[in-house]
Amino acid sequence: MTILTGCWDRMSIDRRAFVLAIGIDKFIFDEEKDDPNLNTHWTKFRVAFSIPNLPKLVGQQGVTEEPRYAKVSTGPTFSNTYKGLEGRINKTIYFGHTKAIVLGDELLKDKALFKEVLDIFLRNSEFSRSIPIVAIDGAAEDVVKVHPDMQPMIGMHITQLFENNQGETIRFEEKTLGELIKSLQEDKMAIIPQIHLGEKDIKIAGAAIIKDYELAGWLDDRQIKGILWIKKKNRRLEVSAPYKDFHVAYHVSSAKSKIRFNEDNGKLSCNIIIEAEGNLDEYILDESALDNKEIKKIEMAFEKVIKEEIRNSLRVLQEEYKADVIEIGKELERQDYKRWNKVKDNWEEEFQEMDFIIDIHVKIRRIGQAK
Amino acid sequence: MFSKNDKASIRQVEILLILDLFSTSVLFFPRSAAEFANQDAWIIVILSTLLAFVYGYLVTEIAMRFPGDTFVEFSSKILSKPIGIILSSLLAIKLCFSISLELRVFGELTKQVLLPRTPIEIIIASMLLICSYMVRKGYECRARLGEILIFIMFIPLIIILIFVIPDTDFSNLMPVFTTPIPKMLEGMYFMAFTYTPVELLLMVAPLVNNPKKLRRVSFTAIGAVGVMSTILVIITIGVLGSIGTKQQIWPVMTLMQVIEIPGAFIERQDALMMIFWILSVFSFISAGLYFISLIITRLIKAREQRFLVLPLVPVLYFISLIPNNIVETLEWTKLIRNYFRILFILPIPLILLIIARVRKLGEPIEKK
Amino acid sequence: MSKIKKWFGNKLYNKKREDVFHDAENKITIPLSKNLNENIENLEMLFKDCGDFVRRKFPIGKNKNVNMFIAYIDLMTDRQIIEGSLLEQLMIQVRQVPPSIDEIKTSLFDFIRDGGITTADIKEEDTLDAAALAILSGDTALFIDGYAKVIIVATKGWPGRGVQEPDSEIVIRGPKEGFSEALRINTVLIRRRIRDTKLKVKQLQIGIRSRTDIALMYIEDIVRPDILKDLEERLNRFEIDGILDSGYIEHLIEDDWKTPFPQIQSTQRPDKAAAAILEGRIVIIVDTTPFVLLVPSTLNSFFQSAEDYYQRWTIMSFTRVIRYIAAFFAAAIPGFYLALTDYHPSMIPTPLTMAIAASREVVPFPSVVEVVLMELAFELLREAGTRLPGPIGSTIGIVGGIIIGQAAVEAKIVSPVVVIIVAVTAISSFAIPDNSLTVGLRLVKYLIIISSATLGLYGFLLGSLIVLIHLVSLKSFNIPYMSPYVSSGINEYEDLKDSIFRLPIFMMRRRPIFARPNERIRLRIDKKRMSRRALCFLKMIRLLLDK
Repeated sequence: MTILTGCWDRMSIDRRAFVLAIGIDKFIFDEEKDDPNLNTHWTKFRVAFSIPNLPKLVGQQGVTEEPRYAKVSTGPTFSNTYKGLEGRINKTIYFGHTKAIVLGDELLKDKALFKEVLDIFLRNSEFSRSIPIVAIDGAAEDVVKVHPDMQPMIGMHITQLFENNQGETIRFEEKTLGELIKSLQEDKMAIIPQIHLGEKDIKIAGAAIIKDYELAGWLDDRQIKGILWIKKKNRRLEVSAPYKDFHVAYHVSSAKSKIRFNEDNGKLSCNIIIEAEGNLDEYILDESALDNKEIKKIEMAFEKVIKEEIRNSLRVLQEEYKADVIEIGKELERQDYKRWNKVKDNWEEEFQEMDFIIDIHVKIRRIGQAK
Repeated sequence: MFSKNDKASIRQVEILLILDLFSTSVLFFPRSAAEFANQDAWIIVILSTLLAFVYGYLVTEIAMRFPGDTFVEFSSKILSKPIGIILSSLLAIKLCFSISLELRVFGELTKQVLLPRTPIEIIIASMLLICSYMVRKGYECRARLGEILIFIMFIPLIIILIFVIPDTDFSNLMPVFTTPIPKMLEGMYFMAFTYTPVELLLMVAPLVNNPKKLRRVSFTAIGAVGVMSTILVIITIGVLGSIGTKQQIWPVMTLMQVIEIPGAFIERQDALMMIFWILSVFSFISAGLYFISLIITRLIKAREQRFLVLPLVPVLYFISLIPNNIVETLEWTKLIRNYFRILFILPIPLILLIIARVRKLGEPIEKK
Repeated sequence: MSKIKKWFGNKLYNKKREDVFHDAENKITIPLSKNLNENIENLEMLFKDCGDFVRRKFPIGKNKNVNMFIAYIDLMTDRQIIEGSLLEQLMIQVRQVPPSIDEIKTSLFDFIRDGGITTADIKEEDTLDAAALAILSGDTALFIDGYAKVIIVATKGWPGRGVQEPDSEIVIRGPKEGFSEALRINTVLIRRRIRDTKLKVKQLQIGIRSRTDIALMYIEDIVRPDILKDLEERLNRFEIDGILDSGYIEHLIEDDWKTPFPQIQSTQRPDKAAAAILEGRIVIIVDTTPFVLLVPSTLNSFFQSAEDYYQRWTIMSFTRVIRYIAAFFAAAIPGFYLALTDYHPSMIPTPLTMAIAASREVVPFPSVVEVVLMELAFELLREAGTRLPGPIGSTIGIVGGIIIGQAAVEAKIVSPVVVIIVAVTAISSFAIPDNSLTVGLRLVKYLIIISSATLGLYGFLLGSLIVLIHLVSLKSFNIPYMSPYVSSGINEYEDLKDSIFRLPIFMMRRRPIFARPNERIRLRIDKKRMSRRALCFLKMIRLLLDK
């Protein structure tokens, strides 16, 4: 008897609506498009869900032509929105395969809402902790509704962009749900990669800075690069430097760095030494790079550019945002616990005042096939 | 073994003990240890293992003195019958509660991760029924199953852990030795409680081929589990950070989710981790069930142990359903852990040992 | 209560078979008489209505004054021996013996027995039962007037198959002889491979009506005496009408009749049987069936095929691993699929999930029904395939499978994934060398399907645990069924060398646990002749295994 009735959890796989991407926005009442009933304090979220049209996706004849549907729902809590959605579509919502979460800027500016959203991601076990998170300077809903031409499923597209990032060149710092939560809990600040919408495609570049659960600002491409240089993770960055009226390109294959702290007259300074190795990707046609002196000069050109980028980023972080997203504080904690104890309560100011001395050594290991 | 008596070999007892210990330790260690000492959690693990060696030594010493008797018998011999009966009943009751709470915790976790809508009663009841099926087959069968289960469980675990190592940020373990010593000792004391299944060795002597070698059993088992737990804690903190570890109720689950195994076709490894957890809980609960029924059998001098197993099932089932939710369950567990658990691994064996030595009871062990 | 049963039962039991001429065990109780005519009358009465009973009464001696009588069953005998070595000798040659018959009349019987018949195999018996049994076995019974004894002449020669290639256990490399239906041929095939006087052939008869000959073959100083004794006890504890195949015996002597898993192995290959004997096991050969039984057997034995030892160890270890995986697949894959798709789709990679969901959208049945339906359909196909003769059978199997599967998918009765799952399951079940284990796995598969369908992955695990618990508790003649994986402390891990991996032959130096504990070493290699590298390797493996 129990066997026959005992399949509470069983749900046929085709009765599930696999939400591949979620876009979460704060609800801003739009006079033209929205129902006046919604303009109460009761509605706080506007969430868009991207659900694929399976047969079409797989190549069979589906019931409709759309490769995927984007459904928007509103409500006071996230749970309310997606459970409300179940009243409108003929399948059950399932987050087990969610591949991307997009956060809108208004949401990020609202501290309470942002915290609410994070809490549900933590608590609900359907969400995997390795879901990529991106932020957009605009409405997340638009991201979910866009149709990139190469890969119609926006969720998969974002995930695949993240995967690309792990490959040859790194362009932005990825954040997964787990990492985001970890950074926010430990340091109270984090950066989320930023997504830009085009006509038919999307681009992930730059980042949003979150300080104390609130959006503090946006960093662009080059500023992010500087941050990536300092952080000890994957540093396969690409550098372009001006050289003799041309631009030459360099590609890092690996990098080592040391961070050392010194104290001069009560003022902390930080010495960052980076050693990068890589390949020369582009040089000047008809000129030979097969010369030690030449190589040295090229290397110096790169070093100059990199130093500039890092300086720029540090300046932005220190002066504009006063945010230690490069985790220098953590490094100090690991290296010199006593010193950290002294300054940790004041870390924001300390960080702002801190002197950074940067040393870059670029080594060109390979120059490609030509001279 | 391969003989007409259903006795287990030493190696089998070792394996069973490892299984029992690991089931309680693996899910509790990372979070609790991190709560005491943040990133020095692994040091606490090592310390508590050392403390556990002491407990194991005490328990096996007293058990080895009476190779043909279980705790029921020798406690009566040493301390007179009524006290012996009281002690044995206490052990049985304590085991009942431990098992039931463990069941409940397991049920909650399974419900959350695998079967959100299934009533927890079904999950618990089915596990209990399977355990009772196992227990009815006898100790030696349990031992044989243990030998197989340990391979099924540990080989995937080790492979997965190997894959996690590249993702581990060992700098998360820095700075070292920042926790004050009193807190460390406190942590050590409490963490050693996860080794309480060692008390089951009190009951095991007549079921084993070679009772004189029990000491070796406790050392190997505790040592092995200690090493594995240390590695696990190090990796957990390395990947999740000390704060992250503290925040999750089940950090090892989260760990499983975060790691990426290259080329593996199963995406959500936490469900895979559940397999491991289910098997180890199964082993632990069938151990408990077996020993509770053994104690009762010996107490009332019944002839067959198997008949007592089924009646125990509803008892454990109802006890496990008493707490209202996981929070209460964990509170209860803490309560029992703090007051009861130490009882049978420290004071009672110690007292029994001293009295036995003084009164020259039992067979002294030849020191090699 | 039991006393009443016994008394009652005895009365009924014996009543059936007991009559004037037969006792409770269907043995003839009429005594032989010195009068030939009386003997002939008795025989005629016993073999009344037997059209194939041939008899001939003839006189011998110059004066034709001694009567003799032979009897045999038509076509069970080799008529040439009867005519050439028996009748010709008696009728013609003996006649030419100069002294008159009367002189040696007192010892006529001995004279005939010792010198009159020129066959090699002659026995003297003194009961009618033995005579009748001999006749029914294909021998010829010779009666002499004036003596209450009978001479049994070995003339067996019934139509039989002879030694052919075994049709069920095929190997690429290795001998291609298979057992036949005749007991003697089978014992000979084994004798050829083990030319040791210590190889014993103990014969018994089992079956009240069938009186089937059973032979136990074993090597006296290797076999475990307790197992041998146990086996004999078990063979004696039942009384059955007739044994038509070794299967009857297998199921009457095994440890646990309730389980779907076989505890006794059967084989058609003499080399496998000989190998088993050399390991210390006992082979039970049953007349009229080419399938012999190997006792005791563990789970591991069912995964070993004869060819494993004739080919190289690397490829064979790989094959063994595949067999174990196949066994797992055959039982677990449908359940696992159900658990994942219905309960935990997050565990399947996303593109695959989409594909499965897409293909399932148009199927009307729930997953469980799909899977069970296809499994049952496959069982039907399998049965049909075995019953149909020769080429038609295999064609139907393949064609049926493909076409029906394809058509079912097109008709949207099942989704293509399920067809694949079922096909993989079926193929895996064929990969196991011994068919009897496959049956067990097929049944277990349904249990796991049900448990997975009810509780998802948790149910799958519980179902597998039930199966494991059951397997672990089985014993085959007191040896745990799951050796060498459990209790591996026995025999110093030696058995593990031949389980999942098959280590090189020079490493398998001891006999497995079936043999007597002291008689274990079966291979000695002259260490001086081995290269140093091989020696080091050997030591390393030894160290690893002999903890």
